Amino acid sequence: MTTEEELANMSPEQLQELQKQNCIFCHIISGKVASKKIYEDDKVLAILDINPANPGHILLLIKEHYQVMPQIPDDEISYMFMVAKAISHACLKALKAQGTNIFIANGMIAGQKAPHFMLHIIPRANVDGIKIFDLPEKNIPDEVLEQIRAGLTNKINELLGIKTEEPIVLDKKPEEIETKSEKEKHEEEKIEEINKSKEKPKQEKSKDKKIVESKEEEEKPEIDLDDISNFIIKNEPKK
Amino acid sequence: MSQKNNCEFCQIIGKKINAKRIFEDEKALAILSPNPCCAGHILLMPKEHFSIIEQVPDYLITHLSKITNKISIAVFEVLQAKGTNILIQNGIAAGQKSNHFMIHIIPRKENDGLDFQWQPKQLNQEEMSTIELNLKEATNGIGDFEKEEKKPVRIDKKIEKIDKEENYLIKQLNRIP
Repeated sequence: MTTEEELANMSPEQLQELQKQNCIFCHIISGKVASKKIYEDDKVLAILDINPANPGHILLLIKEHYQVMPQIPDDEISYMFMVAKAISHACLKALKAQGTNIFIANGMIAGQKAPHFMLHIIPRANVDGIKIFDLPEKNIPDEVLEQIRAGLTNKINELLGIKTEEPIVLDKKPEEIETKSEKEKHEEEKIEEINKSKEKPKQEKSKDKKIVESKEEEEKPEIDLDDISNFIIKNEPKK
Repeated sequence: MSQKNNCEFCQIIGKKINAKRIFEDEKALAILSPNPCCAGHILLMPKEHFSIIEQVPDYLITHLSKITNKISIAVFEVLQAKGTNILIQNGIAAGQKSNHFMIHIIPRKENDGLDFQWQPKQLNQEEMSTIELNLKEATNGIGDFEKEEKKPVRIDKKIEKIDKEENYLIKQLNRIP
C-alpha cells in the first residue's frame, strides 16, 4: 500500500487513479469482483445490493468513476435517470412492488458510503417497516426561506444560463440609469466646456469687433463730418 | 381532470397557490417545499400532471435530471451544504404524499437531524437469486428511450396565416361586382 508521504506528493490525477484502483465498485464493473448483475450496457451497470434495505434493492452504477453528482456531465446523469425509471418499472412488474424509492446520497454526511457515484432503487411494500423515506416536517421561519429562495434562484439561473427578470433587472436597471446619467452628465459637462470655450472667443471676438466697429463708427463720422464740413465749406463759398 | 384540479402542485404551477419558486421553465418548476424537512428542501416537478415516474416520458426525465444536477450544485454553493440527498417517492408505499410526481432535493449539513440510513435486511442466496432472475428478465427491454416529438406549432401557425390570407383574398374577390 502507499504511504501517507506518497499520498501527499501525488497529483490529483494520480490520486484519482489510485482511488479507481481501490474502488470496490470499479472492480465490480470490471468483473474482478463478483456481483448479481441485473442490467448492463456501455454506460451503466445495475446490481443487487448485498446489504439491501428491502429485497430487490438495486444499485445503479455509472461505469466511469465519479465520486459525487456535480462531477458528472448532464448527458450521463440524464441517462442514469432514464435507466432508473426503467428499472423502477421492472421492480413494480417483476417483484410486484407497491412502490419504489429512487435515492441518491451525495457526500458522506448524506449517507454515501463508497466513493463511487450510484443511484439506489428500492422496491417498497406497504408493510415493509422502512420509515426513513417518510420525510419529516419542520417549521422554518419565512425570512430564512425567503433568503434561501433569493440565493438559489440567482445561482440556478446562472448555472442554467437563464436571465431572470426579477432580481437581476432590479439590480441592473438603476446601474444602467446611473451610468447613462453619468455619461450624460459627462457629455453635458463636455458640451458646456466646449460651449464655454467656444463662447469665450466668440465674445472676445465680438467685443473686438464691437470695439473695432465702434472705432470705425467713431472714426467715420469724424472723417465724414470733416469731409462734409469740408465739402460744405468748400461748396458754400463757391455758390 | 379531477385529479389535476384537486392537485395542490398543479395549482401552484398555475399560480393559484403561492409558493417560493426558485426555478421555472416551460416544462418544469422548482419550489421550496411548503412542508420542508430542512432549510432548503426543494421540490422539482414537471408542469404536466403525472402521478408516478413510470408515466413521465423519458425526455422529460432527462430534462428534470439535468435541472436536479444544477440545483444540487447550487445548493452546495449557496447554502454551504456538505452533501445532498435526492429522493423520488414512487407510490404511497414509498412515502409519496402528493399525487404529483416530484424529485426531492435535500441539502445536508452536520447534525441536521435527518437520517437516511437503512437497516440491512438479511436475505439468503436463494432469495437473492430469484430476485436476480426475475429482475433480469424484466430489464431486458431497457434501452429504447422515448425521444421528444417535435410539436408542429409552426406548421399550424403557417396554415392559419394562409387561411387568413385566402379569406382576405376571397373577400376581396367577393367585392368585385
